[in-house]
This record gives sequence, structure tokens and C-alpha cells, in this order.
Amino acid sequence: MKLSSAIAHRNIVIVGNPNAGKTLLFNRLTGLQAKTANYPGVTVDFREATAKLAGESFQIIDLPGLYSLDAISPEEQITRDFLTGAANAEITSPDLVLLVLDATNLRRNLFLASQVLELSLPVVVAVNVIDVARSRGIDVDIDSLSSRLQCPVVAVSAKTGEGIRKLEEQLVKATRSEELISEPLPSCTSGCKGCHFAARHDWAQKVICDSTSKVSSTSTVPFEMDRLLTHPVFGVVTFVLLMLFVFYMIFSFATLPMNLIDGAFTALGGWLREVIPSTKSRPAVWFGVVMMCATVCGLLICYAARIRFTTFRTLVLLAVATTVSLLPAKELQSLLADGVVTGVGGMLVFLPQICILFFFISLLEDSGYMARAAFVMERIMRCVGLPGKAFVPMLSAHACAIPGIMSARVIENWRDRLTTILVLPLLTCSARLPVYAMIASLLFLGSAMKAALVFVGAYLLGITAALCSAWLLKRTILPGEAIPLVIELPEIRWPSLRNALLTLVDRAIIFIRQAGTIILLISVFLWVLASYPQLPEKDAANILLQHSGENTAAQRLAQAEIEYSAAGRVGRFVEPVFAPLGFDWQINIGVMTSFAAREVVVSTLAIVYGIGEDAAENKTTLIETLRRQKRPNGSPVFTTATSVSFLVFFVLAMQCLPTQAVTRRETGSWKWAILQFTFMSCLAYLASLATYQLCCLWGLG
Amino acid sequence: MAPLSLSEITVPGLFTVVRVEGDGVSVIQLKRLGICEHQIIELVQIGNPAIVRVAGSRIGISRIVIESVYVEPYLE
Repeated sequence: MKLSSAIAHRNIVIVGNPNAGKTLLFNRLTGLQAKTANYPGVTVDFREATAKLAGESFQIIDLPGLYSLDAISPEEQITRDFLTGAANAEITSPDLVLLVLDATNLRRNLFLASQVLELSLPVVVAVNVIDVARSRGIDVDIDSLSSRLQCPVVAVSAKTGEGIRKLEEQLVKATRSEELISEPLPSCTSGCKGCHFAARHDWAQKVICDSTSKVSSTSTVPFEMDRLLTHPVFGVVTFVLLMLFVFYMIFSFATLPMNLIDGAFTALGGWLREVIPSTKSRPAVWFGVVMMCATVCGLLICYAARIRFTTFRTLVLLAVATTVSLLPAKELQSLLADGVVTGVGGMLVFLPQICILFFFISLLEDSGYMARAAFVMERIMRCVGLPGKAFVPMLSAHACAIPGIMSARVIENWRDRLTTILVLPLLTCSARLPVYAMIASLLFLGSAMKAALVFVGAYLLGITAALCSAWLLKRTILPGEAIPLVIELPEIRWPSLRNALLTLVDRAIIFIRQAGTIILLISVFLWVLASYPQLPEKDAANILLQHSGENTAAQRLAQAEIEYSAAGRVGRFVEPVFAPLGFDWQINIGVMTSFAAREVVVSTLAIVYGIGEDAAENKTTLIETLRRQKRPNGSPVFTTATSVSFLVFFVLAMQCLPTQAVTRRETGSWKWAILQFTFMSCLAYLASLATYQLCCLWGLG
Repeated sequence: MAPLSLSEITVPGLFTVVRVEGDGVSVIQLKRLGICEHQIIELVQIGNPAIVRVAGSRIGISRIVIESVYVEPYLE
């Protein structure tokens, strides 16, 4: 069937309704062996793994859930294509289909079964959650069901492991023995002149009557509780409280590991500065060692990014490794400590937040609550043309846009998902907080209430901009109302902790891979911009001589170096563009260097205004220094107008390249990432321009 | 009695689906979830969205979609 290693093994595809427990069964069969793969050409992920079943190796693929083969979403189309072998040359028919049916709701699940069993494919049916069905008095006659479906049927509980061994044996047997492969089920719609959907539902009802002792299941959750969860007011309140709890958990539990990661990367940077010699005592040995290390790192990155090797790419890799090997020792130190470690560390520091968020999202999805959340938020979100499910990623984006974008997968409709992804970075993430804190202090140092109002205003501006942008996008480049809600409200049940942990690991691996590949390259690129061309040694010596005896000599040198760099030159070059916003060339450098991560602007401003990076930690020193800054005409740089304009710019600008990389990954194209960047940059520029000019008109400039 | 649109029903209860109009994505979704001709459904919660029980599970449906579902009271 396609993909990575599927060629070497017989393959089994797992198919079933959403919420039938496919992923749980997949995890039970494969353990921690799974990896997330991407369907060629689109952005739909599925999980695949090589697993030993009864001593034999199989490639097992967990396909997106679907209600029927009349696919209405990209995910469903992919599952259909896998089953029919259509539309993609890389896909051939599977060796075996493992059809998962929910024992507590066989009636619904048998609709899909009626279609899959007509495909002339070998099928084994797993009747999942049999333990729950039994506890509700639903007795499934497996032999009778097998006879009606004309294929092997095994009762299992993916959660407890019941029946898994028997299922494994049956899967092996089915792939070995041709005679076990049944004839395709005669179509239940043959001769039907009316609605073929009704014919299939009628067939499902007959099968249920013949093979179970209870025709329909009833929810174990009290009806009143479900009414509360779906109530127009109490449902929204419950949802908001639950989300507040999740975010409280994120912020309280993530702080410690985030500090640890931050500390570890800071220590790593310091250690690299100590370990790497400042001079090359043996150039040949140096060259050889660095060349080897750089090549190995390059190979690892290519492996992580799943880049196939070609002659050209190998030559590029060798050229990069050679360049790195030829760098002077001090520059190699800086590249590794300031570029690689700082850049990748700045991204990985958000890993704990992402892990905790996805852990809770997985629990909420597993429990059946997420469908109710979408239900209650539907009316509110529809006002701006988005579905109710968009609220979850929007809330997540207030921690960090990256997990928000990743969690936008809960939205089935591609157009709605894309709109949500495009506007998510407008919401205030935690990386903006240092900038808000700086501006609040600049404007209202000593007045906590007024400073708090700055924060509230910035958050409101972000939310308003995101909702208005979504409304605008749905009426321009992504036209069309959100697909009206038709959602199954699955029964509330205890979620699987194991499944949530596996989801967490899966998401974490994707995030780390991202940090180790595209973010690494971006970090190195920005390091090059901020480091080259280098200040001539003569000028550096002059600066040190001029400030000899002062304890700010190193800061003056750092200031001069960044001014001399490409980033500094760009800052001066774009000065006429940003002048109407109240920005001087030094602020422009901050804007340029914070494209990788917006919080960098605080330390950059500290450097360009000659305070020093370490002093940026001391807010009072930084604020006082910024307040003292004068323009060539003697007027202060950070007036109220400039400060508010700067704040508005940072609320709205797309200054987070990791987010751009994730947008590219989730949308499958740089086109949308570039559009997002352009749209947000233009919005930030225009809003900032209007703010500054209006403030000047009101005498605040 | 002429079939009524499900959106016009004011009291929850059991109904038989007479027809489902339209052929968009939402209508396909309704039909494959069991809201199609001759099927018995229960309107559980009125509102926008409404909740319908069919084929053993509950479905949340926007008002704009249930407008296309025509039903008559279920007579045992």
C-alpha cells in the first residue's frame, strides 16, 4: 500500500466510525511503535506502525474515521481511497481490512459495514467496547453476526485488552488462508428503487435484530446531565469553566518544566562557549572534527525532516558542513550558542504546554465531551462564519499559537479549518507578554491598574482582530458559510489515560521534529543576519579603547556590532517605511530580529540602546533607559504615541517564524503561511500607522 | 396531515421522516446518520442547534439543516 515501510510487510488497515475506538485498538495492537505519516499531497495525517501479531510482522494503518464511503471530507476521502485503491498511484488495495464496530451502537456502525463488506476485500470485524455493551445488558451473538456479515468477527475491548489475542490470531489466519476470505456481501441496496441510505439502515436494523438481545443502547449518562452540557447557557458556562481549568493546569504544570528546559538550554549555550576553544590550535584536526559533526547533524536533520537524498542535496550538505568547518572558532561558538541553541531552545521551551494541552484535548475527545463543546459554541462562532469547534484552537492559541494551529484539526471542514489557522496568531500568546509588560511599564510605570488596562486592551484587540479577520476571510478569499452543524454526540464515557499519553507523545514528536529541522534552519539564518558583516577589528578596538575603564564597554561593542550587521543595515534601510509609525531605526532592528520569536525584541532593544542583554532582565533599568532615548531633533523616542503604536504592531504582527512553519505543515503549503504573514504584517502596519497618527493628532506624540 | 419541517415542531417527540430535501454535504451527513425516508427519529431538544435521537445515538443539528427534514408524527 504505500508509504514508508508498507512494501515490506502485509498491511492491515483499520477502518470504522468516528468514536468506534479505532485508535485505541490501533494503540493496543501496536503499542509505542506508531508514527504519524502524511498522505501524499494533502495534510491529512494517519498513524502507521509495524507490529508483530501472533509472531508475524504486519504494517498496520489507522485511517481517519468515517460514517460511510460517501466521503464528504478530505479525511473520509482518504479512507475511501485506501479501501478502493483509487486516486493515487502509490496506493494499492490493503491485504486485510480490520473493521471496528462499536458494540454499544451497532446499528450506526453497521451502515459503514454494509458498504465495506461489498468491496471484495478480505475483512475481519472487531466488535469493540464489548465490556461496556455487556454491562448495559447488550448481548451480541458473535457467531450469528459473523454469519450475517459473512466474515470473521471477534469481540474485543481495546481499553481492557479483552479478546485482543484472539483478534491477532484471527488477523494472521485471515491473511494466511485464502479460503477464509469471504465472498463480498451482496449489496443490501440491490433492487432498491428508493433511498439507498434507508435501505442500508433497514439492513442494519435487521442484522441487529438477528444478532443482539437489545436493539438499541441507551446512554448511561443521566439525561439531565447531558441536557446541562448542551444547554445554551449552562453548556457555555460549563465549557468556559472546563477550558479555564485546562489552561490553569497548563500554566501551573508547565511552568516548572519550561523553566527547566530554558535553564538547560542556557546552560548548554554556556557549556558550548567553554568547551569550544577560542582559537584553532590544530586547524586540520579542527576542520576534520567539525566537518564530521556538521555532516552527521545534517544527516540527522534530513532524516528527521524525511528529506530524500539526491546528488544536489548531498553537495549542498557537504558545502554547508565545509563552510561551518572553516568558520573562525569564536564564530562557531556564537553560531552554536546564540544561533542553534538559543533558537531551538526558544521553541522547545513551549513543549510542556503543548504536551499538557494535547493530553487534555485527547481526554476530552475520548470522553465524548468535545462534540458537546462544539455543539454549545456553534451559535456564537457562527456569527463570524466559523464552526463551534473553532473555539477550542482559539482558546489554545492564547497559550501559544502553535498548539492552537495543531489542534485546529478538530475542525473537519477544510475551509473552516484554514480560516481558523490563518487568524489564530492574532490572539495574544504568552510570548507577547514580555512586550506588553515593557510597554505597560513605559506608559504607566507605578500604576498597576493602568498597566493592567494595557494588557486587557491588548488581549481585546487580538480577539477582535481575529474574529473580524475570520469574518473578512469568509467573505473574500475563503467564501462560504461554515458547514452547518450535524454532529454525533457520542455517549459520555471514561477516557483512556493510555490513549491520551500516546497522543501526547505523538504530538510531542511532531513538535520536536519541527524544532529540529525548519526552526533550526531559521535560527541559523537569523543568526547570520544579526552577525554579518562583522564589525572591522579596527573599529571594535576603537570602541573598546573609547570606553576602556567603563563597565559598559562590552555593551557598546555589542551595540556597534548589531548596528553594523545586515539586520542593523536593514533597520536603517527601512527607517522611512516605519517612521510614520513612530519607529526609529533602532526599534526597526528589534522588529527585524524578532521575526523568529517576538519576545526577542526586549533583549534586542536592550542591546541596540546600549543596555546589554543581561540588563533586559532588570525591567526598571530597561524602562528608564528607553525613556531617556532621544531622536536626532531632541524629542523623546518612546512617547505615548510611539509606545501605543509599538504595542499595536506587536499585538497584530506575525512575528513568530515557528508559527509560520507549523502553518505550512498544517496547510500543506507555504502559500497560506505567506498569506498569513502578509495579511498580518499589513494589518499590523496599518493599525499601528493609524494609532500613531491619531495619537499625534491628539497631542500624545 | 401534511408533513411538517422538523424546524416547525414545537414539542419534542417521536416522528417518522417523510422526506429530506436537498443534496448538499449536510444532507448526506443526515442521511448516513439515519435521518432519511421512513426512519423513526426522536426530537429530544428544540433549539438551534437541536438534538435528535436516531439509530441509538444523539445528533446535534443546526436549524438551517433540520429545515430540510420533513416529518409526520410517529403512530405505533
